[in-house]
Amino acid sequence: MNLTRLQTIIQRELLEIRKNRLLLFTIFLPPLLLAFLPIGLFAAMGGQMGNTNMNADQIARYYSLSPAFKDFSPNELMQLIVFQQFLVLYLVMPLIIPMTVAAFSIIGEKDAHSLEPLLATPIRTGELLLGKAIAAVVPAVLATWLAYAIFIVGGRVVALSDRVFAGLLNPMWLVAMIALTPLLSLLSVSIGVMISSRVNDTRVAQQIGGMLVIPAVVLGLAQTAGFILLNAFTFIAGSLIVALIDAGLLYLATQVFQREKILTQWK
Amino acid sequence: MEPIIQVRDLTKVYQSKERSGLLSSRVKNVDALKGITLDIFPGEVFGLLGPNGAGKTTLIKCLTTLLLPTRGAAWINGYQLERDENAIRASIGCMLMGDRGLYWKLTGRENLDFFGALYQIPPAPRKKQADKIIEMLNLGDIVDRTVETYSSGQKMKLAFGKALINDAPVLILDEPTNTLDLPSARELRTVVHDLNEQGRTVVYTTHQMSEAEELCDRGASIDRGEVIALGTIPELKASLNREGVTKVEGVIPATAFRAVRALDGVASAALSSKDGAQELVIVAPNPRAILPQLIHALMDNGAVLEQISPTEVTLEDVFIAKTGRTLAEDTRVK
Ligand SMILES: Nc1ncnc2c1ncn2[C@@H]1O[C@H](COP(=O)(O)OP(=O)(O)O)[C@@H](O)[C@H]1O
Ligand SMILES: [Mg+2]
Repeated sequence: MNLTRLQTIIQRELLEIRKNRLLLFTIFLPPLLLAFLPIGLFAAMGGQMGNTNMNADQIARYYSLSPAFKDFSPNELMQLIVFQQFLVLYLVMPLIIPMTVAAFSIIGEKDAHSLEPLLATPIRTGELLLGKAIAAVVPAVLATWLAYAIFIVGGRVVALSDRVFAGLLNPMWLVAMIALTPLLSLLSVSIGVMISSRVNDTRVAQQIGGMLVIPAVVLGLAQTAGFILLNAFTFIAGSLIVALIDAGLLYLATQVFQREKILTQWK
Repeated sequence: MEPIIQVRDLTKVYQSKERSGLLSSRVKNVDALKGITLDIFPGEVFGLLGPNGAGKTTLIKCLTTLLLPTRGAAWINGYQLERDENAIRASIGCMLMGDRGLYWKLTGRENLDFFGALYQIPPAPRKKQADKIIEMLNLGDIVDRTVETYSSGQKMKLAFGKALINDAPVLILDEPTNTLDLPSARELRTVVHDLNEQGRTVVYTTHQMSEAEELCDRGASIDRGEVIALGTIPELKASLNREGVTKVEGVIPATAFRAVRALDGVASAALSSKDGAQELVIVAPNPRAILPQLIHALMDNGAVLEQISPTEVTLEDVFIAKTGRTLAEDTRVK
C-alpha cells in the first residue's frame, strides 16, 4: 500500500465530486433537510404537538416503553419520539450516500474506459478500491455528523424542556454516530462496488441500492408504532452485526474488484 | 544487441461466461494469442499489424501487465512479466483504447497531473514534463478546459500526451490514429517519429498497413493470435518478391471470385469492397502467365472489369498472400 498513490486517487475522486453538482446535492441535501426540517417544524409550532391525532392506546404504549417517561407530559413525550424518528432517518444517509458516490465513480470509469489506462500505471487494485471507498465514505460520514450537530444545536433551542433535550443527547446516539454510521457507510460502499461491476447506469445502481434503506425504514416504523425503544444496547448490538456483515461484503467487493475480472468480465 | 522487449510463446485464453439458461452459464474459451514469439530492439519502431480481432490489443494488454498471460513469458526493459510488474509499468508509456481513458470532468492539465502523480513523479518535475508535452503537442489552447469540451481529435492528442507523462523508454501505442482525420494522423506520426529519434522504442499497433510502411522499421503481422510474418518492412515485402500482385477493380460476383481462387497458378486471392466498387487482389508467382486465364475466369462468371493492373507489393499484399484475407475483415470471435 503506497500512501502517495492512495492520496492521488482520493484527491481525484474528491475533485470529481466537487465538480459534479448532482453528486454534491445527493451528498449534502438530504442531511441538511433532515436537520433543518424537524427544527423548523417545532419552531413553527412553538414546540406544541397539540393536534397530534394519536389515540390514547398508542400514547399509553409509549409511556410503557420506559419507566423514565412517567414524568413526561404528553407533549414532551411526543417531541422526544419525533426527535428520535428523525435520528433514525440519519442512519439512512450513510446507507445511501456512499453507495451512490461509489457507483457514480465506478460506472463513470466504465463509461470513460479509464480503468485500463489507470491499471496500466503502477497503482495496485487494492489502493484504487480503498481510495474510492474512502472518497465515498468520508463525505457521507461528515454530512451525517454535520446534520447531527445542527440537529443538536437546533434541538437545544426548540426542546420543550431539559429532560427532552437530555433524551436527544442520549449517548446511544453518539454510539450510533461514531460506530454505526461509518460501519453502515462501508456496507453501502461494498454494495455499491458490487452493483456497479454489473450495471452500467447510475440510476439503475441507485434503484437497486435503494433497497438498502428497507431495514432502517422498518426500524423507524417499529419505533413509530411504539413497539421498540431504541437504546444503547440496540445500537451496540447493531454495530457488531453490521461489522460482521461488512467483513463479508468487503471481502466480496475485493473479489469483484480484481484486475483480471475488471478487464475481462466487467461489462 | 539485446532486445528491449522479448516475447516467448505468449498465449492468452479468454474465459468468458456465457449464459446458457436462466441460471446456468457455461464457460467459453477464446484463444486470443496462440504462442507469440518476437523480439523488439532498443530504438526501433516496431509495428504490430493485423485485422480487427487478430489479438494485437490482447498482446499489448499482456505486455502492459493488464492481463495475465495463460502461458509463456516476456521481458520488458530487462524486467520479467509477472515478476516485476511495477518496474515494467514504470518502463512503459502506453496509449490504450484510443481517445478514451481520460477523465472528462477534469481539465487536460488535471488529467496529465493525475497520471503523473500515479507514477510518483514529484510535483515540480511532473509539472515540467506536462508543460513539455503541452508544448510538443500544441495543447496550450485547450489544456485548461475540461476534457468533455474537446473534439475527438483533441482527446486523442491528450491521450497520446498522457502516454508521455512518465517519460518512459518504451512507448506502446494501440491504434493511436484510429479515429483521427488524415492531417492529424500524419501530425501524430511525425511526433512519434521524433520521439523515436530521441531514442525511445515504440511499439505501434495498426490495422492500416500504409501507416506501418511509413513509420515502422520492423513489424509482425498477426492473424488470429499467431505471428504469420516477422521482419523489417523491406524483408516482409521481399518475402513476396518473386510473386506478383495483380489488382482487379469492378463488379465481381462471388462465383467469379471462387473461379479465380481455383485457378492453377494463383497463390491466393482476396476480395474487398470499397465505396460500392470491389477490388480483387491476386497474388501469383507469375502474374503475366495467368492473365488470360484470369480474365476468362472473371468474364465467364459475370464480372464487370474496370481496371486490371499489376502493382507494387504492399504490406497488405503480404498479409493477403499468407492468409487469403484482407485486413478489412473483422476476425473477432464473439
Ligand atoms: N474480454 C474478452 N473476453 C473474451 N474474448 C475477448 C475479450 N477481449 C477480446 N476478445 C477476443 O480476443 C480476440 C482478440 O481481440 P483483440 O486483442 O482485441 O484484437 P485486436 O486488437 O487485434 O483487434 C478477438 O477474437 C476478441 O473477440
Ligand atoms: Mg485492438
